[in-house]
Amino acid sequence: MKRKKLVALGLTLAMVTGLTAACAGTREKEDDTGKDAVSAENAGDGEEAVSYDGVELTFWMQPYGTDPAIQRKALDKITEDFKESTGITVNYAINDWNSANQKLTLACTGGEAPDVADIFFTNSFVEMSTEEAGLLEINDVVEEMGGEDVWLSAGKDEACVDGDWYGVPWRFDTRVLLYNTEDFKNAGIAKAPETWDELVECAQKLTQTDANGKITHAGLAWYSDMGRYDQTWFSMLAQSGGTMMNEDFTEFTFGSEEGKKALRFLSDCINEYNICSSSVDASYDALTEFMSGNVSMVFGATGENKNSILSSAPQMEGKFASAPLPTATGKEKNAIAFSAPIAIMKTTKNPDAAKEWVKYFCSEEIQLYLSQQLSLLNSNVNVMKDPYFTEDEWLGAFSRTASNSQSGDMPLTTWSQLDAWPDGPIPNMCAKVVNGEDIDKAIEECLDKLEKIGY
Amino acid sequence: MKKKKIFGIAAHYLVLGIISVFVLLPYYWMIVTAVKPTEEVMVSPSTLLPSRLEFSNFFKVWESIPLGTYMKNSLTVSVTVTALSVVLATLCGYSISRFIQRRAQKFSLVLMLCTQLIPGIVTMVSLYFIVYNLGFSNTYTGLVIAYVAWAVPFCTLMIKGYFDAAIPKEIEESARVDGCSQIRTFFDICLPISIPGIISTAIFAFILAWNEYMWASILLSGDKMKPVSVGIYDFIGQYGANTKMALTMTAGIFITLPAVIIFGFLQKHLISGLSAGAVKG
Repeated sequence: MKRKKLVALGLTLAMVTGLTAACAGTREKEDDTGKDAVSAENAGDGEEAVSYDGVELTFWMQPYGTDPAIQRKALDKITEDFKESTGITVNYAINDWNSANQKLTLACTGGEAPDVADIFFTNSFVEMSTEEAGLLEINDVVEEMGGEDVWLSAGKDEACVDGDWYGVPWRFDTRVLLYNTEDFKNAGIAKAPETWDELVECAQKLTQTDANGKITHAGLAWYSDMGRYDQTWFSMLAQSGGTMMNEDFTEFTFGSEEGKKALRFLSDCINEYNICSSSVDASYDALTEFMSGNVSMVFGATGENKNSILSSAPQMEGKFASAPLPTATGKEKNAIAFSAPIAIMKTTKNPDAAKEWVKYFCSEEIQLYLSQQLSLLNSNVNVMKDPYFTEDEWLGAFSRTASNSQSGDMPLTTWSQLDAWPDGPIPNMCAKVVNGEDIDKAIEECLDKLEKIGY
Repeated sequence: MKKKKIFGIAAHYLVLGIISVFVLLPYYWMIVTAVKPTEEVMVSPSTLLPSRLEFSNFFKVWESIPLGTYMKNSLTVSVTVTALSVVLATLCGYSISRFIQRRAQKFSLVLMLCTQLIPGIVTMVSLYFIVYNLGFSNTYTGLVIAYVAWAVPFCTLMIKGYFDAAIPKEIEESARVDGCSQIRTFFDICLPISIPGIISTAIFAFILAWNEYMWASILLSGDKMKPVSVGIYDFIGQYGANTKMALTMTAGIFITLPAVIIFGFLQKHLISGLSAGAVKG
């Protein structure tokens, strides 16, 4: 019996020693990396040019564009050029969108973190950051790159929290009207609609129904999939002159007359005007229907849709175009816009090298190159002024919308909960209105839920 | 009587046919989408048959994503997990099967059953930080530890059932009477007759590791490390859309091949291994 106890004690001691050794090993490894960084930083204190030879950075990014091979090729080129000019090796990892949020959350709360990351939900990540882990404040980098005027306002909203910058805005997203030029020609429509009335009139001309009034060819479809109406409504809110929140983001203001008008228009397009196939069906995909010739206009198309269409439906080449989304009277903002920044993590052992990479990656030249390779819009005002955007027939609509849009995501730490799909209060309110619930009641219930979650 | 028999057989095949269609339709869809011409992939309503066959995707997919690397990574992890799980589960299952009267074995059996009741997501964060603090994040070691921790309890229960049902204690007792030690009895008598049970356990462990996504996506970063279950998500873009559906389906064909081949060769053992454990005789 005594011998058994001794064996058990021995095993326990061996296990504890093993675990301690493993943890100590990790720390030693981290300290070693730290030493490399310090030597690089010390070199930077001298009068000579900073040498980062031998410094390695990790960079996390999500997939963009229509072909994964193009993104890898573009990143290979950028990282090689960067290494040539600075000596810094950037090891990039493309993490899928499905796990990106979890990985970044763990990175901000003490898990494995890269040196630099392509992030989103900046407010939430800043909130969950600790003293040692999370997003690093980089006001100096932003200042060095030209200050806040360099980026579109949506870019600032996503990268700046309480006056401090935690990232440099790069990709940008706004929405336009995608339409079938052949259908327009056949229906005798000369130009894309600019007001809601024109939109309804156009869609009515393009919609075909059977004897029972069931739509067989829809004039209009919402881009959002699986009955997700909130994104469509956000654009309509901007188009009716309304706002989601007040200027200092302390109060929700969508219960205004403009907000109600936008909700009513959303519902009327489906239930009253009978111009729009209701996309409650989870298998309904507006773009697939557009490519198949079953829909003439898609409300809220994205920049990469052109390549998606050409790649999946080459027969559509030359038969579609884009235009800024119509507004209530033609004078309001066209759409909402989103942006995402590149951030440095506090856990980086090489903050100076990381800043060099962020500045290089977010430079106008690289951003234009990435926009072209990955079919992305850009947060940088000067990049969006490039002829690549302004003179291109497809991208021109995005370029015009970009300068006449308002932020889609609110800079709130709980925004991901408030706008969670499908059960978040905001998507839920939109779905209820589309399904016939009284608008005032739906807004009231939504505001109550928002209050309960907090913001 | 004869009529009744014919009707019975017809009904049997009808049910079999319906179930087969239900099970095989996704595979049919995967193969048909992979060989459809580009313009027919995303049409609505979808077509069941392609107007012509296109095999270019079978070459393109290797250029679009590093599928070979992903498959090699998956194979490395899956084989390691299978080997470890089978060794641990066989020893553990035998011990519980033969010495269940001991309190510790009984308790461990209950614990193993309990682990099967906890959803993986619940333990994810704590297990992640254990693996991270051990310095195993972004390593196959970490992934293998996590998978083995998941696979061993179920594999143990599977193999224990096999030992209980398929190997009579009398055989072991005869060996002991002839002077065989407990360990030799296990290795020379029990293991050779347990091959079907071990194979079915191995297949289960292999498929678990081959298909697993959640852990692999959290623990590993970068193309060099990704297993194929994570790598296939390279085709899913920013808006959750997949514009390379045909290539995804082609990759799907290659990804399911190892499991299909293994199952094809070993299905006899798998079925006998599973059914032997199912009924206690």
